[in-house]
Amino acid sequence: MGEVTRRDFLKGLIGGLVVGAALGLGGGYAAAPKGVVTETVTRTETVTETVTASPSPSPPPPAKKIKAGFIYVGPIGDYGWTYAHNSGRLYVEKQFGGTVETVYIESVPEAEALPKIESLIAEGCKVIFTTSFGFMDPTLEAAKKYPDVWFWHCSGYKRWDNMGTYFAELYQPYYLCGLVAGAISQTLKFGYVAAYPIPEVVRHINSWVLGIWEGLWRRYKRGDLSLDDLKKVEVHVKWLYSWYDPPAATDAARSMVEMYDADVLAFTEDSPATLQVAEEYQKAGKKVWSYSHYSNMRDYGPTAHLIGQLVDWGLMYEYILAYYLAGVARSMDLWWLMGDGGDIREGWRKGKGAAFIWLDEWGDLKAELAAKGVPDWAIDLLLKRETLMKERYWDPWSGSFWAPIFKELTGKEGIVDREGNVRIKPGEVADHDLLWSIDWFVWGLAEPVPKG
Amino acid sequence: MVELTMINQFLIGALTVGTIYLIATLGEVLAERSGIVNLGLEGLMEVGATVGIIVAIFTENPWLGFLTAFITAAIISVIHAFACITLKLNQFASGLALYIFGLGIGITFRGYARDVMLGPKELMKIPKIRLYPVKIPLLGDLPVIGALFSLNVMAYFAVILSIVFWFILFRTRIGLDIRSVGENPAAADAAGINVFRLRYIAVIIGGGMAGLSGAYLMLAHTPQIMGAPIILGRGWIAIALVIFSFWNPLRALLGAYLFGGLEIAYFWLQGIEIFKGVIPLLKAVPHVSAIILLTIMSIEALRRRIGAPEALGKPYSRE
Repeated sequence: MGEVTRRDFLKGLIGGLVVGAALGLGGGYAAAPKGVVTETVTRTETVTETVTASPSPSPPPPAKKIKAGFIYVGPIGDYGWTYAHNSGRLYVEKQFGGTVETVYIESVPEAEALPKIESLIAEGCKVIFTTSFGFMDPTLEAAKKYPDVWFWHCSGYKRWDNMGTYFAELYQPYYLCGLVAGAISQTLKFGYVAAYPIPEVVRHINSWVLGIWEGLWRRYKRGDLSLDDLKKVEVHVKWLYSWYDPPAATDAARSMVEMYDADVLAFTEDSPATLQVAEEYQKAGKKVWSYSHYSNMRDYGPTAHLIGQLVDWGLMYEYILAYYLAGVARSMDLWWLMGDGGDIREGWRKGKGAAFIWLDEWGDLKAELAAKGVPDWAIDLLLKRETLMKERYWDPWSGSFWAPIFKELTGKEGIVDREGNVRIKPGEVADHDLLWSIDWFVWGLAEPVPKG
Repeated sequence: MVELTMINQFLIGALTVGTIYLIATLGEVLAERSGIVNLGLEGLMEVGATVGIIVAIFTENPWLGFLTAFITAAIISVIHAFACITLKLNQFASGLALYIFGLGIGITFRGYARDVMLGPKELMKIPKIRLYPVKIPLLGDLPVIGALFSLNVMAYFAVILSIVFWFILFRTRIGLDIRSVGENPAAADAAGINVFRLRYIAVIIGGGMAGLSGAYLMLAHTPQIMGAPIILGRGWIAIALVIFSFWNPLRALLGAYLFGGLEIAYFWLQGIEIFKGVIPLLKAVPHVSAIILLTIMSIEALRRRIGAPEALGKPYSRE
């Protein structure tokens, strides 16, 4: 670049960026849905931050109008994790009328979390939600630095006087998804497109596989399958090392159908790509099934779609903000299982709750699943397990439940890992801490959890 | 025999993914042969992806999707051509601006299309418009190499395109003119070649190819309609592949399929004990080699040694 001086380069860069930005903004403005445009913040609030140096935050007086800020790790258009959180944000805004104003910043890299949090505070946000595991330490740092602001971190375990954690757990919906998989599979080979080998994903894979085992076990007991068939069961996992990469998820899902003849595919990736692959095989005459993950993805694969692992984050945000508005804000660890967060007027743990497997708009669960070939006994079992889990009478992570099943499969009693060691003995149950740090696979997975 | 069909499927996957890179790389080879670098490929691919999927959904015709994606990206490339050729601004800066611009409008319009224009009924058309493989009779049934004859139509078309691009660049008068414009624009100008016109043509067609590549990714591989990026770095890899192929359309074929193969192999070899050590490497290779190749290109001495067009990245003014 002999003739091009630094000044020319900068001129070009600035000129180019200005043109690009202007065109981009113009295009973006023209294209943005109306709802979003009106949401852009009007800075009418005068920021009168009286810094009181009180060491622990006193519960704020009931606020007339508050502003809540959201930090998202992905784009709100990802149709998975961030999309679901953003739906929750829109829900609370609607639910609280003019009382709660919300702002958000999307696609925030972990390293930029703290500056973005501070920019939201400068905008006058009094409650800040950070929605990725990687934002844990920056959120804690901000909580220590700004004691008069409330922080809520999704999926982490570090808390402070003014910082709580919240998570809507999906291992129970994954178990139910597995149950359907075990009931419908013809090849007895299963595939999972996974993001990262972290406890959350490992827990979901394990719960899905336990569900598969119950479905297969019932078929064995009914005489539909032999014990030899059960010995041939394989569950494969392909790791993306990314939360969002639809083309890679497509390749991973296809590889499992082609290599192992897997006919049910589950996934942890924030796009419907895996479901679309299943739908493509269905269209070509091969029965391959998949699910919705976090958001309603059914339209992307209506034939291949069974049920889903879905979360209504709005209920959680409503719960948290209601505490704040009532003037009794406190630091909590909210870990909601199925049935939690439901409307109490519907009866004891009868409401839909924050985590669930079916949307009303999909029609009648029984009829839809029966039309896809799920046997009636399996649908009844699915609904029974769902009710029992919601009402907290039953949980898949119980050693006693699995003792007779794994005894016949492996000769050992309890929940057995893929190497054949008993991890949860009869009489024991997996507790919160075990599930939050789980790094081993249950019996049936073809490959171990990758290290590092 | 099971293994043979699996190899077949692996190759189909590799060639299908490789075609994404191939189409974009061919366009960039043409532009760089004329002396203009376009770092905006990623953004143009994003625009092509958006236009391709939206048009294909509404017309239920993937070919119209490809065509409009090509035309849209070509029109947007005019901005880059104008900035670099007429205004003589820095090509790298203009390319980066194009990248940001393309990424922004591509994602925004796709999100808009999903949220406002499309209902569930339209979304259900997506699997229908996906391109299915076309198997050439007899040849497609051969073991292993049958994969070469079981691709989708666009993948065959891309192979033909690379031969056409090579033929034009190295066997025709206009190709010679383009290359001379990229090597020594002053001499070419003195010889009566219209430097500006040729560069404009090369940049515009090159940009259009990037749009075509984005539409191909959408329609033949991963049909998605959401307000989030889809190219995810593949445009930068295509730029690196230009260097890997030494600015030769036929060698681009090799590089593109190699990188497509790496992308597929990452999943196919996962979980197989003997490949355990290679897996992290497979994931890193395309990105690391992209960085290395781009670094090589930014060092003038190295660039000359590997045969880059002499006037690459330099604006030409008549004085």
